[in-house]
Amino acid sequence: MIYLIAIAALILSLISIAITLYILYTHGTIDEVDIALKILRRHVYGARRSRRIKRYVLLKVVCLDPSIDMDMFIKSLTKHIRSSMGSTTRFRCDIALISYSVENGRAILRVTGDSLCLDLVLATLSIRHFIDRVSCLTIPIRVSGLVSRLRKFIGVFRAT
Amino acid sequence: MNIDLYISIDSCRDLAIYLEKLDIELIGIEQSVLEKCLNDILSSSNTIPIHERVIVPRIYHESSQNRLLPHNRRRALPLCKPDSLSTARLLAKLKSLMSIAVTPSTLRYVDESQINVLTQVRIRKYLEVLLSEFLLLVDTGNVKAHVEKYMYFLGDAIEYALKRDVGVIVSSGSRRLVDAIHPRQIDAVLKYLGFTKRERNLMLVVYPMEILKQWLGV
Repeated sequence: MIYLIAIAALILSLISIAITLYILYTHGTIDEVDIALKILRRHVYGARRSRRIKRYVLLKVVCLDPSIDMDMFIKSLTKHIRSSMGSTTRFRCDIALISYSVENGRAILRVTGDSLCLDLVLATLSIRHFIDRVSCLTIPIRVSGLVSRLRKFIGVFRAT
Repeated sequence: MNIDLYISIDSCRDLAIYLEKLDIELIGIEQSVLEKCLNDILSSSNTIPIHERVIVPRIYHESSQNRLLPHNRRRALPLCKPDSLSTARLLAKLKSLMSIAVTPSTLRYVDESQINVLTQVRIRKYLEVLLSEFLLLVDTGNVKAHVEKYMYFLGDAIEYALKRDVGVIVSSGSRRLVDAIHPRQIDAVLKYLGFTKRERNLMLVVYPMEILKQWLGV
C-alpha cells in the first residue's frame, strides 16, 4: 500500500514538473531561465570576490638626479604611485611597500586587487615620473605571486 | 635584452648619467651628440662595460618634399619625421633603409592607406614610435592635450601595422634626462595598451635587431 502511494506521488510530481516546463516554454520564460543559467555559469555574480589577486612586484629604483634622497623617495613611493593613479582607482587597488634596499636600489611592492589593477600599477610605475616630475625611475623587473620567488631571484634568502 | 634605438639627450653630462645608471645593452644616440660627447661616454663608469654595450649613431631628419632623406645616411641610421601627408607617402615608397617617426604630430599620417603603401615596397619598412613624446602629454597641467585620443589611435595604428607585417619599433625618444624611459617601462606601457607578449617582443627586440642587421649588412 505504501509503495503504491509513493509511486502515485512520484508520478504526480513528474506530471507537475512536465506541466511547469510546458507553461514556461509556451510563455517564453524558459529562454530567460536559460540566459540566467548561462550568466551564472560565467560567474558574473560573485566575480568581485573571486577575481581578487595578490602579486609582488620587484622594482629597480634609479634616481637620475643626484640631489634626490633615494631613501626618502622609496619610503614615500606608495604615496607617489597613489597620487599618480588617481583617487577612484584606489578603491579596488591596494599597494604596500614590503621591503627595500637603498644600496641596491631595489624595492618589493605588494599589489592587491583585480587583474587589471596589476597592469595599472605597472603602467603607473612606468610613467610616474612624467606626472610628478621626480626624476627617479621606478622600473618593474619581475612580478610574482610569491615574495620568496622574488627573493630567490635577487639572490637574497631569508633565514627561517 | 634591453634595447632603446633612439634617445636625443643633447647634454653630455646628462647622457653620461643616463648611460651610467641605466642598463641598456643597445642604444641609439643622435650622431652629432655622439661626436660631441664621445669622451664623456667612454670615461663614465657604466653599469654595463663599454665593450658589452652597442651604441648606434642615429640621425633625426625632418623630411620635406625637397629633401626626403639626410645625406650621410650610411654613417648613421636615419629616422625621418615627415612634415606632411604627401612626404609621409613618399617616404613610404622609398626603397632605402630608414624608419618613419611616429609622434603626436605625425600620428595622423599613419593611417590605413599609409600602412598599405608601406606593405607594397619590397624592403621591409619600419615605423618608429617615440613614446616619451606621447607620455609628455600625460602631464596633468596640459588639459588641452587629449592623451587618451592619441594613445587610442597609436594603439590602433600599431595593431594594424603589425597585422600587415610592417615593422614597428618603440623607442623612448627622450630629449631630457627627466623624460628618460627604460625599455622595461615601455614594455609595461605597451602591456597596458593591450599588446601581447609576442607583439611586445617584436616591437622591443626583434624589429630593432632586424633594422640594425639590415643597416650593417649582416
